[in-house]
Amino acid sequence: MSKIIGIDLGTTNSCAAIMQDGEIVIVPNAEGMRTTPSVVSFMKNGEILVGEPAKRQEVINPETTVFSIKRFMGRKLDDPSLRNDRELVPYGLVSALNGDLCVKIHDRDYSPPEISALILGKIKRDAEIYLGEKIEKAVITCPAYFNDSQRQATKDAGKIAGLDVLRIINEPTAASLASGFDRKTRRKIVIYDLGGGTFDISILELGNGVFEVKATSGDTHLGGDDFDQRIIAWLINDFIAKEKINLREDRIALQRLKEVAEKAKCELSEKTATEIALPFIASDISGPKHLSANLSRSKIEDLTKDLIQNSLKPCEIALEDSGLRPNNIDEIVLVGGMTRMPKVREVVRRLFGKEPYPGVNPDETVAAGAAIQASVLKGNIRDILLLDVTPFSLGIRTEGGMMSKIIQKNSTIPVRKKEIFSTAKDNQTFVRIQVYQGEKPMAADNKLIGTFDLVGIPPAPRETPQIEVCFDVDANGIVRVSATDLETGKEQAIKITPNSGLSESDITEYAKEQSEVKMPARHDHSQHRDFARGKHDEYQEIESGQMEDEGEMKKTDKKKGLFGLFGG
Amino acid sequence: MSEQNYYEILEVYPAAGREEIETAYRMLLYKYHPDHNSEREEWSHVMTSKVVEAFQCLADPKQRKLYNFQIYCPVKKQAEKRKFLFFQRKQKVQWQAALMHFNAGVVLFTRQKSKAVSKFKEAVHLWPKFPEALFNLGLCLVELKKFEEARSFFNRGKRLNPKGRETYRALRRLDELIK
Repeated sequence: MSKIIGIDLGTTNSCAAIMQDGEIVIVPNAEGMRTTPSVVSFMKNGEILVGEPAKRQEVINPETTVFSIKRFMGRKLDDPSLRNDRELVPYGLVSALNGDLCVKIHDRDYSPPEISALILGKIKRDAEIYLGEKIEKAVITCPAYFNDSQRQATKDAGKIAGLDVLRIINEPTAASLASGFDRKTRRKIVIYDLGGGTFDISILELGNGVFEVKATSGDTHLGGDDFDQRIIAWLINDFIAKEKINLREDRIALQRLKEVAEKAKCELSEKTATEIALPFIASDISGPKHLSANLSRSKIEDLTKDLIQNSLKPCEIALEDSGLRPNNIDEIVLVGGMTRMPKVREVVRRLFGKEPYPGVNPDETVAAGAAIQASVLKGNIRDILLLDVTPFSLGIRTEGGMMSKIIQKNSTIPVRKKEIFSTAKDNQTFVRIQVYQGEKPMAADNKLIGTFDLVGIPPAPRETPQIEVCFDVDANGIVRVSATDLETGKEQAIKITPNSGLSESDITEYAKEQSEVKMPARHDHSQHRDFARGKHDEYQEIESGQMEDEGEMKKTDKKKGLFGLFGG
Repeated sequence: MSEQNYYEILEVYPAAGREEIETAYRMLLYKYHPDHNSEREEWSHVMTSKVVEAFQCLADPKQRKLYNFQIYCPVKKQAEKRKFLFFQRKQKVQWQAALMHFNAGVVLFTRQKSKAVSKFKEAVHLWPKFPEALFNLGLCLVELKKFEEARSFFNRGKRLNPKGRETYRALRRLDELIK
């Protein structure tokens, strides 16, 4: 059986890992880095750059470089929560026929799954080179608070990249797997995951190999990106005050600001103050203007105070749902690059009254967890059991616009629940089933995730037909709803037709397209050359062998060569 | 295959304690969970959700008592046959109407308790000395958590048919439930 790779598809950075002989190995990319920036850049000559090379020339081509695409996965263009993001990204956003958001580049619309697929495709290719064999299967992570369409979009991205996505697992759950994998004691842990774009909190009970999620909550719109934006806004306002020039109108300047803001933020996790300098950022009649500012740790804490506070509300909800108190928690695990910020650690420590568990690498642990889950799915690990939950309540709209909940939030998945409904009018021959997710009592206040009609109900007085609505949430957290007319005895089960997302034919079409797309050959080549230079002599030979036929590679030789390169 | 009850799904005795149920639950999940059954997805999905449902009910003492009530006091599906003489034509028509409501109630019982209640009430209204309808009505009301109303109907049934064992059992279980 071929290897299954675990991929953490992040908002700003992605990471891949695999289990080899019971050890978790982080798979480095072609540039030799352990994480790959989730950036895709479309060049004028039709080349597509992904990862570090794309990020490097973000400043030059802001309109054609796509970053933070995860924020737009499975979303509509008119989604109110996206209003801020739409102004902040330099690339153009348009609406697809079904209202889904798309990215417009060089007169072509790219759906978010397609962009994500390009990132996954790079990870896949790099892993194939590193491991010396074809990778066809993957476990991909997504935020626990992702809804059905966002999960579906993640799965579609994998398919487009030519990966068979065996499982979508939640990021905090994956992190818990990685941190609790080798320890057997029974305990309750909290995973606080503040990443590049999303925030998740999960409370788990683990012991004897069972990882049971008790409650989960989060915010799909809170992460490092928002912190960067605060710094950018501060810098811009500062510059306006000093020079009377609004840098917001200049896309290239904005991109440069984004770069330094991120850098300054990272530096401030270590240092207490940092200098920001951007020469020649703008110019007017009097000559070129330079931006320089001194950002201290207390200033950044002040700028982002409300963002950190925003993460506490989901924590409280999750605690309440799990029926636990902060002092019942035995361990706190911090995941995601943002948790390096001292203020974040302090707030978490204050909330739970405990020091965070130290032995965790916040950037890699999610990918490591995905690799463990991949190994479980492969059958190599049999003593681990992962019981996740659905983050939202699910139900249908019934008379009076009420939401009739069928699956409560934090129900263990997989789950199948059935409930009987009836018609509201005499001689009604069809019913429209509208599936909603959310906690509010009125359906309209929740999010509509799908609609379908059940037709061919024999005419009868109202409330006599028996319509059984069946909800399935599979282990990936993806929802399927069907309805059956029990009265006639004949089964009329209909799968939910999602009102968003890509159709099966779209996916195959895009997958074909991407497999044909020429990744910059020159670029890739030079990368690999760098790789091999001065190392094993046979490497060159193997590499050329791979160029011709990947299936015919000499596996052992290849491995040796690479291990030599990365020092085992 | 007939519907299994929760104890059968979890493969434990009805008297099993909390610990025992939990162990069985974990054992079965290892066996059924989709993570460990990649080649039988549909089957493992259905089995796992059944096990989870059973466990969630039995792990909660309140829900478990109510569930026990349901399985030990099953609904009466048929009414005792009654014979009418030729001059009792009017009563016969009345009885048949009551019986119709009773049967409708039995059908509705598993699906919509509140509607089943109105059907059984109709049956009792048309034919006040109808022990099966009174019994089923009581069951419905227990499930709707209207315990006191349920008790009054069970008591009415007991007076009608003092030898009916089920009614005594139901009353005993009901007392446990309220405790």
